[in-house]
Amino acid sequence: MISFISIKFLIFISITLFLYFLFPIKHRWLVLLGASVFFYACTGIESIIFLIFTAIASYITARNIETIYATAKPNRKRARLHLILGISTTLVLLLYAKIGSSAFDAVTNIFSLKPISFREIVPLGISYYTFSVIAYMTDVYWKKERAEHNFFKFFLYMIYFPHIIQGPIPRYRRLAPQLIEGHKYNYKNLCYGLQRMIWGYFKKMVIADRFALLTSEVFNNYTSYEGLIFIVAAACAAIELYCDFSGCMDIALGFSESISIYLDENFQRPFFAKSAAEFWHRWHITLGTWFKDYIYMPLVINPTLAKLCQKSKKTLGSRFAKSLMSIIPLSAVWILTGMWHGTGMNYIVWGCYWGIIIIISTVFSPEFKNITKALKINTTSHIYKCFQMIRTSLLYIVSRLLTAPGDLKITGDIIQRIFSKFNLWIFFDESLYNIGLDRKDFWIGIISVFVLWKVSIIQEKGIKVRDKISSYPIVLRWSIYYAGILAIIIFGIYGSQQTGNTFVYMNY
Amino acid sequence: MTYFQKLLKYKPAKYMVYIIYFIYFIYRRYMKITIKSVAFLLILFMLILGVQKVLYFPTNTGLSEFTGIDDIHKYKNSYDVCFLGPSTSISNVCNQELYEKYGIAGVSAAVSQQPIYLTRYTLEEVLKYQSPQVVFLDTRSLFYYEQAERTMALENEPLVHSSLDVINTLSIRKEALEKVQLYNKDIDPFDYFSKLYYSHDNWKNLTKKNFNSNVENVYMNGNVSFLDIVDNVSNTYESSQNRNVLKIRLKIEKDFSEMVKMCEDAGTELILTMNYVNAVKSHHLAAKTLAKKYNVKYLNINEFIYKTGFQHNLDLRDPIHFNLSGAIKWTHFLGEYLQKNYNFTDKRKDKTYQRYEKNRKILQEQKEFIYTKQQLLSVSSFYKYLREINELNLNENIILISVNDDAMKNLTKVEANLLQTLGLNIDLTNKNGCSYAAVISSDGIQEDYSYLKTVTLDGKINETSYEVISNGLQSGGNSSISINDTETIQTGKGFNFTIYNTKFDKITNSCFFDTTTTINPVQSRYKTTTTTNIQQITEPNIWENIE
Repeated sequence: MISFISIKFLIFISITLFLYFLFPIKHRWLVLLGASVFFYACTGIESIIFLIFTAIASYITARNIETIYATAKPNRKRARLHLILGISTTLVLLLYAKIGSSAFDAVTNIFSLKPISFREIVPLGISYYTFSVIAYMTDVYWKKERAEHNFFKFFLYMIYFPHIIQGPIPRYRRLAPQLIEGHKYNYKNLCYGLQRMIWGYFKKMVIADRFALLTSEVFNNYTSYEGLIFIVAAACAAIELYCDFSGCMDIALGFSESISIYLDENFQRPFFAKSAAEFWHRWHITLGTWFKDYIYMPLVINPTLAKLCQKSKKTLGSRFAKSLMSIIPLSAVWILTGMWHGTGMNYIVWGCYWGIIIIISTVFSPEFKNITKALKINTTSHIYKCFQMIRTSLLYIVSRLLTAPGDLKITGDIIQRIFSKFNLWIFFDESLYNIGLDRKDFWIGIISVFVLWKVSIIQEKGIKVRDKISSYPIVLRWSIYYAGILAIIIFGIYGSQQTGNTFVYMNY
Repeated sequence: MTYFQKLLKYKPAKYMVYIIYFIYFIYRRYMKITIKSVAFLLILFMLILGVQKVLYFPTNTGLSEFTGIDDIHKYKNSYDVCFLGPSTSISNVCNQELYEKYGIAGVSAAVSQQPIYLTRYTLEEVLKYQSPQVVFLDTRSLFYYEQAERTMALENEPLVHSSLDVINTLSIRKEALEKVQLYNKDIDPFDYFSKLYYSHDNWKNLTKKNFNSNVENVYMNGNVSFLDIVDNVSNTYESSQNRNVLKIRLKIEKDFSEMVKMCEDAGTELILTMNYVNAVKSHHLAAKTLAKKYNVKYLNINEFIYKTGFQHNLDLRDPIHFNLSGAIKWTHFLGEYLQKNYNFTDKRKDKTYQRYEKNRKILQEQKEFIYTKQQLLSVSSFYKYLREINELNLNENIILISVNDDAMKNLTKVEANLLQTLGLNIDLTNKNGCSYAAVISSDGIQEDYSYLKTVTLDGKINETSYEVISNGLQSGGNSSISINDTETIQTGKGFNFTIYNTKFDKITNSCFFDTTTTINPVQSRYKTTTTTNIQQITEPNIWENIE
């Protein structure tokens, strides 16, 4: 497999870029297709079988639906049947890859069958491409989209290598035309794209992989630690995950931008969010919008739900009945979001955790407003906004305690250990320099986070950092670029002694 | 038809014109961008090179970072003999002495613990750049267990690096890396093709040396001079009872046979050398059998070393490595042997070998140090010891003295006089039961005494910090001498000494003399830098090693 964090990848994208601009504009999509197939083929032949099967199933489904609609009397039920069949096929493949092994074990255990060895295969990016083809098929069914006739062009939409590993989960109408129409060489886009990639590598290699050393040490050896160390580790795990995931996005989006293809943004500085709901509008945006468009909205407008709410009005009161309209879809969305992230119980609990927070904040929104009013809190003041941001970040840090240790039982133990000792002195003695990172590494991590924070503030103000940098004189501009590149080369965590060459979200 | 039109009829010329036009078009269209991009990349490249130069410094990469193989690339076809193998090939011979005494240009291209499958590639690299008459191959790596080779590849990654980094020929390095990957699949190949990639993490260990472009190479012609002496080492070769022939593993024999073939093709004589004195007889017999099988000369150091005046308790740095004194002795033997059996032109008369001349002084100083160390170690009487330390050059040595108990009780007048000539201002003859401490250096003497209290002297001389604590009979308790926060001697009753050489940053000698009794022998020597916990080589169970 070609990891984004490898020299091989840099060589690979250099060749792809060169070939892309060498080919005639009309045929440039073929370069992307070839490169993407090559990129995916490096993960193994079994993964490709899954991918091709999903591609064929969704391609045929979309074509069939379109054929049905093209008839004089379109049979919508038949189209729906095709859609269900198509979605089921792709979901079966997804479930087979995700829980096949454990389900098989459970079945053999229940029926006391002779254990059969089951080879677990988790194709790279299966969750991402499955969701993108489900969106495509549904959009064709909803007539928002026209089915693609050229299988290879459709296949490129699915397999386009920058987004196949970790997303963003694309929408056909936004991505496919960009992929297929060739783009002229654009110096500005090329530079901007490469700059974004550098920023992505900085986030991933300098920050995320550095903090990963600390978090893995604490969560893998949690019995050796107690008290506030876990809070520090959870905070680091939050930063790690953000930098890991958003860093990968920057690399994917940066490469695409360099050939004038714009992928959907997946992050918008989530730690500046003032509520849990806003946080999830800023974090993994494409997954959120996918759930909104294909789970939440269909449920909200579902007549059965409306009927249920009407019925409950009489028994539960009008306010609660009205709330049911959002509670039920939100619950479904968050349980599914949890399951998307992982099949373990901790992910289900994690989904419920966020679901409950968002439901409470939605349902009791009027009460919260009354409380702030009664306490005469100025909700427009900077201090209150900061409080909201810190509150949201803390909620996220707590949620990392559910997923980072990898097991709900360990999470329970860790929570117990947090309250076993109030060791505030760890911030003043040398303790923090002995948990996976030494003093120098720790401070490089802190300084890097500070840089990230400053850049985020500038972005939050609506200033485009790359535009700002490009307005600087050449010496200053280049100095910034060199500093970025050298920071990655010197302070990056890589090489044979390190294990930080994979992405956390790559396993989903 | 013009000449140009005629030329265009010629196909290659036509294509050439197209290419030139294309380049011109690109140049005109993207000139500014091209120049900018090239300038950007060029500066980046230079910055990266600069960073690499600073970070890739062998501050903590172990013994073999600077091997002689660098010189092999630098001075093509200039060496008469070459020593290959593991660390014993680095320490047990002195190429500088070989040049100075016999005019033979030798180089050691060895790496610590190097397994033979990597030595094979070192030889290939050596023969690409040099045409030595003789290559000495150390037998030690013939007996590495497979597990040891695996462990080295898995855990001793810096040493694998040392072996591969010095191979400049990429194809050879690639092949060598593939061999290593058989033992450790997780190796990142880029680590072995980019120095910066490998050493980028060294930013944490930066010292002034990293920024100094003229770093003194401690490896002279691939040798490192060990200046320590280990005692308490028994001679396992002499006491070895096992007469069975140890079977050499097939993989190792294959590599060896390839090396024999390479040398044959290059017209170089390969000599298999058992190059360590604490071997066992079964090793010797196996190596001898192998040499016989491949019609290769075999030289067992153990059979000849004592003819050179080698002393087991003075010429070893540890059970298998010679110190400089031992290396010089063995080099003399080799020099005689080489002169007798081969025709070498005297390189001392050749101006192209000036690089050896600049090392003369260094070797001389190292010799003086090790011989002084041996001399002090051999002295048994207090009187003689005082005479010896009176001869020391105080510009290079610090003498630290601490007394314990009633040290002055039986001090003779002659001994007291010798102490005075060392520079002591306090008359010790009438200070029975006193605490007394002194530090003597080129800066003068610092001393103090007390009848009832502990005397402590501490401070810094240049970069060396010291602490001397003395407790006489009245004050009671222990005495101690510490250099750079490390206690150098576990003190005993009487006079305690530490001689510290500031030039080499090494302890020349540490000992104490019990002057509380009338007889003053050397009672003990503790905490010299090398004497603790040296493991003896044990005879292997040969049946376990047969493949």
